Amino acid sequence: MEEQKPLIEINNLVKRFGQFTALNGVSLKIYPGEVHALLGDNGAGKSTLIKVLSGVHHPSAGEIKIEGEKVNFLSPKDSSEAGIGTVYQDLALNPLTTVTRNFFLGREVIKGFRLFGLMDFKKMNQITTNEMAKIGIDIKNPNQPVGTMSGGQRQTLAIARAIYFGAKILILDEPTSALGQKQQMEVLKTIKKVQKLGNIAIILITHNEIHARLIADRFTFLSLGEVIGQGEAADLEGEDIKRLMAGGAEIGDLEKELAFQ
Amino acid sequence: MKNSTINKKEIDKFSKIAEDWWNPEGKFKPLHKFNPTRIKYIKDKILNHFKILNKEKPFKNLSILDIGCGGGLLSEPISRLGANITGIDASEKNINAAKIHAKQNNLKINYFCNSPENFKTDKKFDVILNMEIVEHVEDVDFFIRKSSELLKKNGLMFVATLNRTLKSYIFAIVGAEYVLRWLPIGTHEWNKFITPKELTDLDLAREYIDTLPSARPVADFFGGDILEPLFEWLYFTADWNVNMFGNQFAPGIYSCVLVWALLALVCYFVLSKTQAGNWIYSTGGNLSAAKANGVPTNKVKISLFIFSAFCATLVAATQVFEVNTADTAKGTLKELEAIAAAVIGGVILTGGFGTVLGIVLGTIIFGISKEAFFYIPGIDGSFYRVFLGVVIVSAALANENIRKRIIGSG
Repeated sequence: MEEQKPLIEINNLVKRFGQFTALNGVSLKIYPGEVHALLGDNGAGKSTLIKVLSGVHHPSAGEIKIEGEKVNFLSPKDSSEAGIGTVYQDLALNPLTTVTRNFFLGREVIKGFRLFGLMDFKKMNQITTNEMAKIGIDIKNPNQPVGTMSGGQRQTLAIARAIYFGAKILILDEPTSALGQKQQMEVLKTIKKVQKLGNIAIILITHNEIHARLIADRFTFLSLGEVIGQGEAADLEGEDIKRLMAGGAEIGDLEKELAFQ
Repeated sequence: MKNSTINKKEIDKFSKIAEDWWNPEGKFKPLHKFNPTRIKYIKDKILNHFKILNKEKPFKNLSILDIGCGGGLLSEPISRLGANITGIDASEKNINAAKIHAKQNNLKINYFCNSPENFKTDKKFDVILNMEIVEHVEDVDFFIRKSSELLKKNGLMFVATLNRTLKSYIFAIVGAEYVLRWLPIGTHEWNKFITPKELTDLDLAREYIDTLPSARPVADFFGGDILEPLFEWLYFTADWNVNMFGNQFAPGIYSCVLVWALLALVCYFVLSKTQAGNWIYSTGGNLSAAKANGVPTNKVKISLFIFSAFCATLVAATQVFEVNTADTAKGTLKELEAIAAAVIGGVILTGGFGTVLGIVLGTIIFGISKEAFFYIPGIDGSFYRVFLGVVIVSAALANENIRKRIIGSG
């Protein structure tokens, strides 16, 4: 893996909100075909990191390189044009309309004039069905409302959409939270399928260490805006993960404190 | 400069059907139907212009020239009103048909096969009728100029023609020739129709011209009735559309229904087939999702507000052109009626779900229900407002339930 070039490289990223430092020198390298789990407690800075990567926030210091080139995002549009596809928790879907309409929302395939030209439903249905099938969900009817799909299927729809519209780096924000057991497994399978496509780097933000262990190739642990541990899946022990998840050294201090009581 | 108003093709067209002139069920049926209207108009205008008080033979002492007289459909009734009438037509066959019919009816009318530029006469006319003729002549400007030369000073010239509007295309060409087959296909050529403005813009003609009241395209589109020929047919031929006294029950449908239907069609197309429609649905269904996918949600919302203002203007226009007065209170409660019609049609109040077909049906149901309240004995008609309130309140209460049902529990 080391001989490969990272798809995205983050060096010493700092983000301050006034007095408060949300990210204090975070560095990351993510390779194509790799699932990189980003773990950490609430307030560790995961959300801030995603928002910086997706162009919502502007970093205070540090640099982001995509395929070796330094980038500077001024808006979410810049980020998505650079190939970063962010799938937020709410998935940005409209449950009241069909799968196809959601898949192409904002980027409809039209014949004739923009805006008032006819949408090419035949082509759009076909693409939707194909793209969903590529990552493992066989939808019978692309004209069913998204509301009738399971949570896992919706997640898949959002991921397929991001990939089809050119995402090379896929950021998944807590994709398994708020889902039932069975659907969580479905989503993990989908992520595995995307990983197998080989050319997409996935950043998986999660609370769930078990899920992370199942599919991640590499881990980064964040605590209070700093990286407190990093490593490949094979090198990390289960205990390490638990300790780092809980906030690293602090848990050791707490253990000592509790022992004296 | 052309020196003839005769269009050979047009003459041949009418010569072919000349023997049919006086058959009320024949090729000229629409003209027979229209005849009483135009005669009344001509009569009123002439009485007014010449300040005639004689009710017995009002046109006595008037010399009238009927250009393009055809089979004499107009010349004969005018003659009966006492006028000294001359009819000219460029088709020999038309003139023969007219002469025969006048003789049978013992009327003294001077018919000549001629056109205004060649017509030699020692005295000029008080009134010239150019009825439904200018759309068939070769050079309108020349035609009007030559006709004018035959008119006395302070005389009166009538020019009637089909206005070149969308409506005339739909009814006179598509309707009368292709669908109902009242007239042989090709009787009228739409691009030869003349608009009132073109007619009054002919310099020489300006002072002589008086156009028929039907030449008001905007007012005609928004006000008055549509489908009158269909309702006539229903009354005269099919024997439906008859009230208890044996008279015609309804003369047609309000024009605003046509406006409404066209608008619904446009909305259906935009909402369900176009990119704009997808943006509208998503802006209503999940605002943040629409934004995240690059839909300009603020522009969508502003455009929709503008469009609803435009629709309100259309309603106002139909009201004003229908009753010829503006009532500022006319729109009161209409906004609630619109909401009620939409929710009956299956639109959910929080947005993002509903169809145009649903709203069309909802509107019809609401409209019928509203009218029905006037026929419930013992209560006032305005009680429909209670119905309105009940519909809106129950829609608000049921909204979340319906929404959940559509999007599933997941």
